[in-house]
Amino acid sequence: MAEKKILLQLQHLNKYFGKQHILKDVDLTVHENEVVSIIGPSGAGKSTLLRCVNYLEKPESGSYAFDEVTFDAAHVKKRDICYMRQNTAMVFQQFNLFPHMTVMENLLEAPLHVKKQPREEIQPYAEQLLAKVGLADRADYYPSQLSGGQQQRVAIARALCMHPDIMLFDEPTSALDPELTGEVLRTMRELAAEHMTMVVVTHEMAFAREAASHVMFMADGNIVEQGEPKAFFAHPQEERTRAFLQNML
Amino acid sequence: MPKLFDPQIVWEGIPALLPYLPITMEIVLVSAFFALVLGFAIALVKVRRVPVLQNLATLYVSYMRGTPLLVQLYIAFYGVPILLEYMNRSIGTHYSINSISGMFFVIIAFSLNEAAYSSETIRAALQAVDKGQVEAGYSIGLSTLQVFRYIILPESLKIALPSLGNIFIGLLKGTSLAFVCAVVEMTAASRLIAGRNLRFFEKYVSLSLIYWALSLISERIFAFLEKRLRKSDAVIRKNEKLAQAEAGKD
Repeated sequence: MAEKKILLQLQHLNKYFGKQHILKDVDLTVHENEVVSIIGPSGAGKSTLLRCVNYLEKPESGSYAFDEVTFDAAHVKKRDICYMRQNTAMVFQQFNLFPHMTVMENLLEAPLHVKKQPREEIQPYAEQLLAKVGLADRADYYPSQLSGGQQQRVAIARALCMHPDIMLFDEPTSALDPELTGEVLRTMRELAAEHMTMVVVTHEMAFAREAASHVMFMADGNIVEQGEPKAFFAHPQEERTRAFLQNML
Repeated sequence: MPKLFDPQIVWEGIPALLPYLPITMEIVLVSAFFALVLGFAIALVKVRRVPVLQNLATLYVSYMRGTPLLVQLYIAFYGVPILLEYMNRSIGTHYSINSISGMFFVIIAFSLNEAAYSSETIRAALQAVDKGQVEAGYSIGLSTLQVFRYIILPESLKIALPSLGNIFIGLLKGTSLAFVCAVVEMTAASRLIAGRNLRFFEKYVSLSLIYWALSLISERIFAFLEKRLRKSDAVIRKNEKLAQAEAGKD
């Protein structure tokens, strides 16, 4: 896997919450078709890093390169933020489906209003996505009628409906019962197998080990160690990584 | 000896008041409209924490909610002419104070008063919308305006509607104070008409029945709107019933 195209590159990212330095000069590089897992203890800045990608958090400094577009975080323009958001899609820990819309309406919302596509054109694709996540028969249900696992799969379908170049997962299974995490992880594995480019913040070590092509370990706003999962889990180099993995496994 | 209380007069008194109903309704609807627009603006100022304006809004709401409506009507009645006269003198405009109808003062006072109340309801409703949904909206590429229109507005309207309904009915009943600005709406008319035969009690009972009916109708309209907005909940209830029926069959 020598010369893979770099799809997303964030460099020297710094983010503060008040006086707290959350991200300390962090770099994130994502190649095309790659699954990057970000692991680490709570408060390490994993989610913040992920949320900086689609500008749900605004970093104070850093440079962005995504596909052909580059810009600097210190002089970010509205257009850049729109670009990042329209070409990425995020799956949240709390699903965050729109409760006043049916499953189908949740999927159609962005294509209808952001891309202004006609309904007839996107509805078949949305139905296809629902079938893919195993919820074809739930199109007319409201989110509150679904289990957590089902809601999260709808959220994945909603994200896919915008044809994102990168999917961002922010602890997608942390709010789920153990028996429901399986169905969501299965869907994510299927996506990975189809070469969807994904960045996954997770506590599921098994997923990071088996489905990811690259693992990053973060602690205290730094990337402590990263690498190919097999080597990473078998021979962690840093003391901090070893301590973390010991606790998790 | 005339009867002490004559129900006949109560019934017959109602049609005599109905010609004044449009005036009452005009005050209610026009004020409700302006109150909603202004209340919404105030709520946005507070939610967005616009500097300076935010503090002014807090002061305004506090004053409006902390003083009686009747007193506010008096202030509008005497204060607006002073304001106009002041403008005439200082910037050379030529507004004729005597040509302003009482309706103008009444609508100003009611709009400003109800705006203060509804702004708090709207603010609370806007803030009650889950932040995660807003982020989800941004994450799929919706603009700030689109997030507001497609996500925050429908959700918060659902939350605000019951309280807005109460405020509306409060306004409806409050219009009975409009007579202090020399507007002859239903309450003022009752007094004038009753003065002819001195059947005050019967007249006020007829009047109360009309207000009651109007309140009931408003309640029903708001209940209907609420049901429409809670379509999602209704579907859920229906599906749950179906599921129960299914379970019962087994």
